[in-house]
Amino acid sequence: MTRKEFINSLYKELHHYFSSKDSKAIIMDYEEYFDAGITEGKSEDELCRQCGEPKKLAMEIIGDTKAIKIRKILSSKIIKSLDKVIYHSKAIIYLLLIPLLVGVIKWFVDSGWYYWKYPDMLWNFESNLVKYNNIITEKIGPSLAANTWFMIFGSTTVIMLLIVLSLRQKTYRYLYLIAIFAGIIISMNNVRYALGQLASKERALGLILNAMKPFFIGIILSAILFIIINIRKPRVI
Amino acid sequence: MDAQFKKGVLEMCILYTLAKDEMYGYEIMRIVKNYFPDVYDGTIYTVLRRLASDGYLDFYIGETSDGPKRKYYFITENGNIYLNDNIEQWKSLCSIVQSMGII
Repeated sequence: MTRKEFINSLYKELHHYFSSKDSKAIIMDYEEYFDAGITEGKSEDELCRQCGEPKKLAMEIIGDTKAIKIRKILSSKIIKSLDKVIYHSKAIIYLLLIPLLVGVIKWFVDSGWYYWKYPDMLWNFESNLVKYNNIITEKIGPSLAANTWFMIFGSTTVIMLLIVLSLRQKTYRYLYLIAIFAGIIISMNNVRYALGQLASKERALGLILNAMKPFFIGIILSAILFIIINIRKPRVI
Repeated sequence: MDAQFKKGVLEMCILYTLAKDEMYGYEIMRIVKNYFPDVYDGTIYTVLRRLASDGYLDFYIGETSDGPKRKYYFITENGNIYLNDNIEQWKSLCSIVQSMGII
């Protein structure tokens, strides 16, 4: 390697992190090194070899800067507190139950039980409009929505609990279940939107089944993951 | 040798050298290479740079006989304190290892 190649390579690597001005200032030391070495009678090639690899040197210099040091300290502090929260705190389990609680409260507030009193409301929506009075039909929509919200919030809690408990027990045997609950969340969200279109459709069944596709995909995905996880010898992570 | 460990000893070596006399980069590197023949020349310069940015060293730009200017490094007050701290730590480490019968 020639002196010029070395210097250019070092400058290029330094410039990824430092400004031109700072990179040039750092380079000056190495120009000095080559100047002195050549005066001593050494060859450029020899000096390049003895100096070290430009990329490695640049990384050493960059790693020494205060910003990187502070970042390292901060990230290790963040990792330590995350560690504490995930592995040791009891409070986090209770915190993770909050979405489920929100779902339950919303279910009561929006009269989630209403739909189950009149389950056939959903099918043959238009003819049912005649059968039931207005109050009931008006309440059915929000009630159905409340049920979907309950499923969404509940599944969120389940997924988060699955992750945290798997990390704590150091096992991934049950993680395949996440696929099912993720499917539920997406499906229930679709159902919510589908409910908004009910008034204009004759049969809700087709619409709802379409909205539920992610759920069925989730089940299939889950089964695949289950098979993959269990055909290998059980192993802790 | 463990990298962190080595860097610490390198620092001490450079500071000790400069505590006796001020020098320019290549001179320092030559002395350090006597004791650490396997260390890359460039690494010595990065340690110099770090010691300077930590305030343990400082430099001035001086002329040379045949033209190009050079950085002449000298140790600072903080550098002396840091050096003495390190020496004390090493002494106590060595006596511990000795008393364990390892060396």
